[in-house]
Amino acid sequence: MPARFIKRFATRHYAIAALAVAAAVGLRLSLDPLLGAQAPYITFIAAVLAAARLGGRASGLAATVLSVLSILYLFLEPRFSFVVAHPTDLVGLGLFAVIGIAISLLEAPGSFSGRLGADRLERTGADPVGTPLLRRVATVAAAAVALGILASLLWNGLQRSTNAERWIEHTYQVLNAASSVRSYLERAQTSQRGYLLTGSDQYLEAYQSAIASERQVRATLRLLTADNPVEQARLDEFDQLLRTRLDMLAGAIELRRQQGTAAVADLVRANRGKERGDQLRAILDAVDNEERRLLHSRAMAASAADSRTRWILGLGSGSLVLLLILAGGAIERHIHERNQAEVVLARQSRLIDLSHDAIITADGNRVITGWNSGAQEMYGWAEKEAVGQTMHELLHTSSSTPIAEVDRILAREGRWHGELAHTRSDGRQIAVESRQVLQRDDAGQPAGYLEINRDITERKQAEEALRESESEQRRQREFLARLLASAPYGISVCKGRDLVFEMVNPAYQAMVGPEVQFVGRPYREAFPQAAAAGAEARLQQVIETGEPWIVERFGAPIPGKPNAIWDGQVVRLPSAAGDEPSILAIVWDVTEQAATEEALRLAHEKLAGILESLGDGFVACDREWRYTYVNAAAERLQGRKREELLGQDMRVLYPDATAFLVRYERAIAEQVSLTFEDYYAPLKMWTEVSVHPSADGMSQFFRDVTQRKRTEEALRESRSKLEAALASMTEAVFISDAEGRFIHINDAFATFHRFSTKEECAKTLAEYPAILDVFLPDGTPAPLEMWAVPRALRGEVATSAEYTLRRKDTGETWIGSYSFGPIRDPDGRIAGSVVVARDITDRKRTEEEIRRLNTELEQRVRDRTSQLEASNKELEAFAYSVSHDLRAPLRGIDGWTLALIEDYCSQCEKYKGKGREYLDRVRSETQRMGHLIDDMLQLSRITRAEMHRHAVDLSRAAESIAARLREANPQRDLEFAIRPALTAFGDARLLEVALTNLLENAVKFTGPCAHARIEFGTANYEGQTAFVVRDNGVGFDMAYAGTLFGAFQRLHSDSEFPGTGIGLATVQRVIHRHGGRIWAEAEPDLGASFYFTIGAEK
Amino acid sequence: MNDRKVILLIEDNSSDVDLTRRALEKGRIANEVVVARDGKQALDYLWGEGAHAGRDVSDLPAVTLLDLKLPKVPGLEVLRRVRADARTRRLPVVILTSSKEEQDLAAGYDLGANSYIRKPVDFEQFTQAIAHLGLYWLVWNEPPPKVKQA
Repeated sequence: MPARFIKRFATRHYAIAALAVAAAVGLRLSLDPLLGAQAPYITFIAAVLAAARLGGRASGLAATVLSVLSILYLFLEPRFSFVVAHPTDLVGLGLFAVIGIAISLLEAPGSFSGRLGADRLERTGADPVGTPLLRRVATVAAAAVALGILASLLWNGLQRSTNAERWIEHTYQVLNAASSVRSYLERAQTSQRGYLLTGSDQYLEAYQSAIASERQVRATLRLLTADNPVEQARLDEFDQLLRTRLDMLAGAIELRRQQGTAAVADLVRANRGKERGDQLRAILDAVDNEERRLLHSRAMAASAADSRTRWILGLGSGSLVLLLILAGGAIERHIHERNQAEVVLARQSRLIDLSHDAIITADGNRVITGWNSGAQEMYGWAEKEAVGQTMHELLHTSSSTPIAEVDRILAREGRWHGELAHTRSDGRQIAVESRQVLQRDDAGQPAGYLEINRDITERKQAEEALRESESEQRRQREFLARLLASAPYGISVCKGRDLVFEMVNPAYQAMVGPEVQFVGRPYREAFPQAAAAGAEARLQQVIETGEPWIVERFGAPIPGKPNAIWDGQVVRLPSAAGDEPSILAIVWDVTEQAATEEALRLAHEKLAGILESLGDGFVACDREWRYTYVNAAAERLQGRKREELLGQDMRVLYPDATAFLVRYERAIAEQVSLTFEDYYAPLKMWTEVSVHPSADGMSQFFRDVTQRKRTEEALRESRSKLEAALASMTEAVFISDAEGRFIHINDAFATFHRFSTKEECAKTLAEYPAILDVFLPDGTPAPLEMWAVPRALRGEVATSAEYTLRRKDTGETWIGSYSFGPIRDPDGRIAGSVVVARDITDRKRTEEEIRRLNTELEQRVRDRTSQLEASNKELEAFAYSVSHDLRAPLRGIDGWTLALIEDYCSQCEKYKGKGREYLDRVRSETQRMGHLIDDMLQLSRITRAEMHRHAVDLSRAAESIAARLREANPQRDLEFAIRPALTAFGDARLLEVALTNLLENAVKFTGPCAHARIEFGTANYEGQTAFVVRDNGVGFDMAYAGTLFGAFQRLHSDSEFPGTGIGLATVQRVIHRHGGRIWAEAEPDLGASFYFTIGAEK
Repeated sequence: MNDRKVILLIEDNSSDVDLTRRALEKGRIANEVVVARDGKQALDYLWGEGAHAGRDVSDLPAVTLLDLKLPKVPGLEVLRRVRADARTRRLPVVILTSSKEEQDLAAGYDLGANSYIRKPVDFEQFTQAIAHLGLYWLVWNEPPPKVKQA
């Protein structure tokens, strides 16, 4: 906070300075038209004064600096620049600065800065005397400098003014001289002319004198203008002209003198002299003009110097007047203060003598200057003896604070008070309470000391005595208090029948609670409940009878602690006669102890409850083996009532339980707990007993474990069976725990891993990477984490993972098929793994063999197929040539036979009849052969034709065939019953061939029937749907049905029904090519049915 | 009319040649029958080469009866060359063969045969077919215009 204030005040100073200077600038600028460059400082002096007055010293100094800058920039020539043209200005500026500083320094630190100054003093710890001195010196110096500068400026100004005056005077002299020359010349000319006209010597004399005067004056003029080379040049020219002019004048005078007026008249008329005269005048005019110009400029300079001097004088005297006013004010103030101080001093000095206190004054060196009657009385020396003596030497001052320290405090703070020891004139030492004040002179140096001392010897002695007796009592009290405070017991003292508490110790307070107020209150108020419960009466009894009360487990209902229980003792204290008796109670809180005891009791009960509710039998017996405790379960297990057992010796009760008794004896003898299981035949019971000997006998827990035993037996049996099964397995079985240690391996494990015995096998997974290389089916090495056991331990399950294994030592390689999976504990965590591995090297080899054979077989099939294809091609070529070449000779035979018949039978009777018949037979056989060939070709074509399967509308195909047949056999009564919309998936052309053959057959074999009925439809035959072509024709004997579909097989003679025996073979071929089946049912004369199926639609 | 025109019979089997001639006679077709025994001879005749050098090539036969199974140059090849040559490409060609193979039929028509007749074994039918054929090609059919010589 102070720092903020200081800052704010400082800112304020500068703000004041800036405002004042700104006002001054404004004012001065507004005065500019009036003053011009004159009097630049006039307004700023006022600004510095105002700033110093209002804002104190700092403001004044700031305003001075700002003013100097403003003046320099704004008002000194050249303006608006910081350059100073005249040294005088620099001096003026310096003077202004000095005056400004002086004004500021004369001003007290100021209304705002007073506090600021004090603050600064405190902070720096500077000597307070130093600042006024500095201020004073600075003020005087500033004043001296200011006066000096002012004086030098004034001197300089006056000098300049005088110079300017002198120059003006000089110019006037020159002008006068020039004018004299001119007038002398005029006079010389006039005189000469007068002589020429009159010839009078009077004129001649005047002429001569004018010439002489002129020469004299001209010499003066030359002297005066010696500093001006222009004027000198003009004078030289003037001299020359003048000389010729004077020669002319002299010449004219001589002419007049010798030849007379006439000759001169010509000369005058010629007027040659006028020209020269004009020239001379012109030169003189020029000199005049020059001098007048000089005169003007010098007059201006003089006036400027005067003006400056006047300003300096004005400013200087103004500043001095200001300084005088300020100084006068300061002196006035000082004198006033001093007068007041003197009045106070006079008033005080009257009091001094009246005081009983010793009042002593001393000078700066502590030489006594004043000594009042109190001092005389106190120290025994009279004033005249004491004055002039050095204080400490006279009084042998000693102090608990060193004297040097006292002086330091005085120098720093101006005052001190404390206790001192002084020695009186009679040598007695006295204790003194001393107050001392340091006085300072104006320079701040110590000027004197004022000491007021009071004799406090007696008071000190009394205090000392008191202190000693008090300290003894305090020690006792403290001891007691400590005792009471540190006692772990609650201690209280009550007095009188009302049992008013006189004292309680902290422990007591703590037992009851800090909020309860005891001292001064009767017991019944502090403990209303306890009092009501009879405690008050009991305590009163102690007071009356003096018999102590031993407090035991006293439930003291305390406010806030209703269940508190106390132990302790209350006794009556011995009391002075007449005094009311008091009692002392020493108590301690046993609440927790009591609670613990209660808890213990409850625990006992609980234990008994537990023992009773136990499923296990529990008995306890003493050293004599007599039952001391039997629980319910023990009763049940032993089959005897508690009453029968308690107090009885168990050795007597169970004499045949030797196996048990022996162990009990051992447990007691060795003092160790034993747990064992044994069978007790009389009860037909397996018992698990744990016996615990103790100092006063022993206790036994026992339980019926018959069931468990049986289970274990069964488990053992099943385990051995399992082990036997595992041992007999050809698969390697290994079970590991979660860490990959093998818990169980069977014999096959050893065989599988190429160990000779099971014992030789490594028992942890970690050992196996050193024994085996394992490869994945693709031949890459399997890292350990890819082996079966780690995979199973990660929870993976596999049924036929294959690995190739290689013994590192022998290099033997085999292939294993692994099944594995994790074993989980009841929580579902993986506790181990089970792996079954089978050597499938042989199987693999067999598989490899089969694969090789298959490949071979496929190759063979391919070979066969290509052979077959080749033979097919051959067959095709054969069929082609049959169709082409075989028919040509037939055609020849037929043709030429016919030619024979036509050409010869008609002419030759001999060949008619039989001959003709033979030839006809030749032809018919030939044609039959042609048909045979055609049918064979068709059969062959059907076999070879490529199949193009589509959905084929068989009904429509049958219809069109039927139409064709009806047309071909117009004489026949043919009825076709064709079931519509029967479709099959197959090759349309081939199916049409088949259908055509079947229907043609039907037509053919119904030939004898008056009304032929031919059906095409479907029929259910042995559970499957088949197409059927049925007729009511001649039928056939089913005995021959087997050969029905063979090529060239016929059931009828050619004469009955002509045919080649290839039609049904063709049909069968078509059906077979479709993957279907064809069969027939018939009975002679009852018609025939041909059934066929077409392979499934694919 | 086509009286002067010849019938070119390309047939290697002499029995068939005679039977054909007989059939033509039976059908009262009197045009001259030129027989070529193989494909080469046929082409020589048509193009005026070899034994037939100097023959007026522009004088095309009224019809050519072409057997497919021929020595030297097979029938279909003869047909292909005939159709490929500008001089003979308009020649009426009737394939007359024992074969009823689909592939032959297809190839014959593809190569531009004008007709395809399968020789029946029954000579009466054969005669009938030839008679019809002759009548058709020699009487009813307008012969193609002569190919202008380049």
